[in-house]
Order: sequence, then C-alpha cells, then structure tokens
Amino acid sequence: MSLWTIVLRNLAQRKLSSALTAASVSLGVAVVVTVLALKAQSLEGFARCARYHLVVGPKGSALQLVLGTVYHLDELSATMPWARYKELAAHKAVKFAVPISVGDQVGGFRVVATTDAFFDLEIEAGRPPEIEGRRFKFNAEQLEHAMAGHGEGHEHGGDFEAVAGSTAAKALGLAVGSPLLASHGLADGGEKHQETWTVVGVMKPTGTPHDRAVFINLDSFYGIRDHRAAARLSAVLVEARGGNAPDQLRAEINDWPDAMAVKPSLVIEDLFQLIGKVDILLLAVAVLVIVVGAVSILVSIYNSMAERRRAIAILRALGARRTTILSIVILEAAALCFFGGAAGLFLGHLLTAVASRVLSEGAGVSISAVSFDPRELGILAAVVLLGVLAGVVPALRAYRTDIADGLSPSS
Amino acid sequence: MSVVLQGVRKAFNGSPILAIERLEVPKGAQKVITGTSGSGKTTLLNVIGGIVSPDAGAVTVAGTELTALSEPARDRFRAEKIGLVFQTFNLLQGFSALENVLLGMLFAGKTDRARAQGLLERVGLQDRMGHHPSQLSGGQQQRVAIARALANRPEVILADEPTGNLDPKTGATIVDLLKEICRESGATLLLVTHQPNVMQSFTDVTDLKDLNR
Repeated sequence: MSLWTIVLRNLAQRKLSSALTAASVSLGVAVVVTVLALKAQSLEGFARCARYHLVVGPKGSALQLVLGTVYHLDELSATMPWARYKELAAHKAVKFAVPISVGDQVGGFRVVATTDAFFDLEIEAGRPPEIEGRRFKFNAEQLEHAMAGHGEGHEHGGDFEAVAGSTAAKALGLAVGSPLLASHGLADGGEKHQETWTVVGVMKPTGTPHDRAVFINLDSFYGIRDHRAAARLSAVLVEARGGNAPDQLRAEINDWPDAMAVKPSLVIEDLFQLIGKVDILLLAVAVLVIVVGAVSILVSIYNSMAERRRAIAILRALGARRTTILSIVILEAAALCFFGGAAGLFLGHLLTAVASRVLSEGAGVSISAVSFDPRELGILAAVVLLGVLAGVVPALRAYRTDIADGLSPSS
Repeated sequence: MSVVLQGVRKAFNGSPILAIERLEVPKGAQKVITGTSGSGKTTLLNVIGGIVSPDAGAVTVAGTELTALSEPARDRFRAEKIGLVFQTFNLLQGFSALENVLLGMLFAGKTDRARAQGLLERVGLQDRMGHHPSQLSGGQQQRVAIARALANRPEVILADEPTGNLDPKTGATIVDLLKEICRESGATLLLVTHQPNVMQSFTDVTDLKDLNR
C-alpha cells in the first residue's frame, strides 16, 4: 500500500473519464511522435539515397531531376546531349560518370537504362548493391553504334538483359532467367516494346528506390527503334574526385548551355525545409490536442472533487497531511498524462510503421518504425509536466477540504 | 491521564458549542459522552482527535498537548495515536476491507499486512478481507472500521455514534466488540452516543451539558 495505490485506485474508479482524457493526450502525442519520426527518418532515408556527388541533367527543375534519377519518382521528359556524358566521363575531376535513361516501365515499375558501372555506386559507405545472379552485360561499342543512329532492336546484335530491384522482382514474379517485356512511357498500360529482356540478376533488398526499379543495359535501351532518335540521354550520375571537386565541377557544368548539375543532398534538404513548414503546422495542431487533453484532465478531476470530498476527508482523518492529498491529486493528473503519453508513443510508432510502409511502397525509401528518438523521452516528460500543471487547480481544491465538513453525514 | 481537556472553548458562527473547564479520561477507561442531537458531541471528539482546533484551551492526548502542535504534526499524531470509528463507517469504496485497514497504517508510515489480516480475523472478517465495502453489511463495515481504528495500536479510540446506522442487535454486538478489543489492547475508549441501549452497557457515562459550563 502506497500513495500510488491510492492514485491508481482513484483513476480506476473513474475508468471512463480516465480513459477518455488519457486517450486525448495519447492522440496528440502520437501525432507529434509520428511527425517528428517521419520528418527525421524520411530526411535521413532520402538523404541516404542521395549519395551521388552530382546529378547532371537537362536544364530545368533540380527537384524533378533528382526525384526522377535518384528516387525514380518524377518524370524526366527533357534530355541532355550524349556528348556531354562523354565530356564528363573524360573530365579529370570526375572519378566516374554513369549515364542513365528512363522512359519505360514494366508493371508500373520504372525501367532504368544504365551501364554496368551503375552497380559500382555504393548504396551506403563501402557497400554497392548485392546481386543474386549477375550484372547485365554492357556493350559500350554497341551503345556508341546505337548513339550514332545505327542498328535496330535485336538487329544490333547486343544483349537485352535486366537486373530487377528486390521489390519489383517480388511484385512481378521475376527471377534469374525470367523474360521481361517493357512498355513505353512511365505510366502503366503503355505500348509494349517488341524486344524481350532476360533477367540475369535480382538485387538483394537495399532499402533504397533501387528496390522499386528494373535496370537494363543502356545499349539495349538505345537498340530500340523508339529510343534511337537523337543521341540524347536523361541524366548522368557523377562521382567527383574528393575535396572541392564536386562544387567546382558543379559550377563548371552549370555554365553549360544545355545541362545543369545539382547536388542531390542539397535538393533534398531544400525539399524538406519546404515540407518543414507543414510539419510545424501539424505539430502545432498536435500540441493543441495535447493541451486540450490536459485541460480535460483538469476539468474531469476538478469535477470529481465534489463527490470525492468525503474520501479526502477520510484520508485526512486517518492522518494524511494536506500536502499528501495535494500530491495524490497532482499524481493522478500526471499519471493520466504519463499513461496517455506512453500510449501515444506506442501509437505514434504504429502510425510511423504504417507511414513507413506507404513511403517504402511509394518511394522505395525505407524508414524504421521502431527506432527510438531520444526526443520522445522529452515529449513524455513535457506531457507529464503538463499533467502536473493541470492537476494543480483540483489539487488545491482538495488541499482545502475541511475534515469535519467532509465527514459530516450531509456531505 | 489519556485525555485531558482544560478550558476548552469552541463556537461556530458565534454560537458556543463547547465550554469545558476540565475533562479527564484515565488511560484504559471506557467512557461514554451523551447528549442531545446538535449538542456538540461530534465537535468534542473532533477537538480531541485534532480534527478541529478549539478557540481556546488545551487538549492533551496520550501526554501530548495537541493544541501546541502544528497541523502536520497533529495529522501525524492522529495517525499514530488515535483511532477513529464513525457512525457512517467512512470506509473508502474503491478499496477492499484489507486495504482499508492498510490505509489506516499508511499515514503512520508503517503498513503491516500480517497485522491488518490479524485485526480483520479478530473482528470476525477472516472470510471478507478481499470484499469491498459495497459487498459488506453495515455491521461488517463497522467491524472493518474498528480493525482500521486499531491498525496503529492507538492509545485512544474515539467512536462517534458507532451504532447509529446499525440495527439494535448488530449495534450491541459492535459495542461489545469495541469494548472487548479496547480492553485487550489497553486503549482508552471515548464513545459518544445518544442511544440509551448503548449508554446502558457502560458504567462511565457523562452528559455533555454537565461538562459545558
């Protein structure tokens, strides 16, 4: 038997109001936790995927270029000259340059045409993507041949091979040896190409947008009649040679009339700063919900004081000090906020798990729903403090309870 | 002496309720204070129990002058040295019989589950320890209240109309139990009542109006 026994028993005696008031606090906390977790983790998740020093593409929207090349999300309707890729590949500040072209899809998953060097690009420090099977064969000569406007489809004689991302492979039922038919355009239902690719590898899950794409050799992409138009490509992923090279290179490229270079990490930061304004609004609403919850706790406990007058007088008659009664009532409010807050943390992670699934399915960026943010302890502490403040008013009323009046038969 | 009142005055809204020159209750005594309804019997017990402060005079219980103590010290003294039994039982509804007895110990700083169980066995409620007040009869509730009053081995038991809400037969049993249990523990019993059948079972009966001068 302790004060906590009294506190918990008092809360249990008012089950419905205790549950409802704690629930309102939990909802607010859940939204706060979800917003913070999604913001922090999606920023981290998106930034993790934006490892390339530079993305070089046609002049236009930097965000569209990054979303289209790094995250396989947006459309890339414009193209840049193939000659610019050649120039970049030969540039002394460039460690390596990987050309990509997009414009096809299979079963709703983006087809990314690139070179085998793409698989050397790390998905995290020191770790390029792992492939079950093998990389596709890339034939540079065939590509040059196609870019020069020769050959058509299989007639060009190259290999039509594909490596599928893990999610795409699972969804499309692709395995090593599977045939693959791509359709024109990025929306599902486009006209099918006549060519058939063979899946030669399936990527192990990377937790990046790679999982939701299918990669084909660039020479096969330009071996198709529809694509062999004008020796142009969608973008080039560039790794520069350390130091200030990325910035200098970016400045140099941005002087070109027909291409631009962007740092994906900066573009993503800008995007999140923009989204941050919405976050603040959501957080403000969530904090308001928590405050309303705390006020409802205040009102609920305050209103219960009249019916609890005798119980308080009994405790006082048994020797409880006024300050003990004060503590009991404040602890009740704090406990409601603690339970609501703790439930809110759990609910918040549950919501994050749902959002994580949506984000993973939509953008291929995986975030963790169980990762604990130390700020959550701060949120819980703040909510409990709010509970203490909410408990002060009814506690003072309880503090003033006169024992003799409270015990009189009429009370 | 277990209880000594000296020159105690108490008035409510200007109307004098208590004006007791001297009242002495020896240690271990079993005394009844009687009086008509509204004569101040409950106020007298509240003054002795440190629940109400007198306007003037000194109240000494178990050798401690209550009127010289701060309110928190009086609360602690009441928890340790005084047991209270009320007409309306005043058990906490959300707690079992055993927990109500433990509550009686909590504010004296020592909860002894075995002793609480022993007390409930002593008042004949060994089969009702887990029952809540709403599951007990009036007589059983008053037995719990008696066990609670004895929880901290008090020197004085103050009983305010303890049979007021009970039928005469149950009331008589409760009074007998109170007397017996106080005799066993050596506690002084000060009981106020206006019920003649209760008065008849005591030898030391004083009318409050004879104390008020």
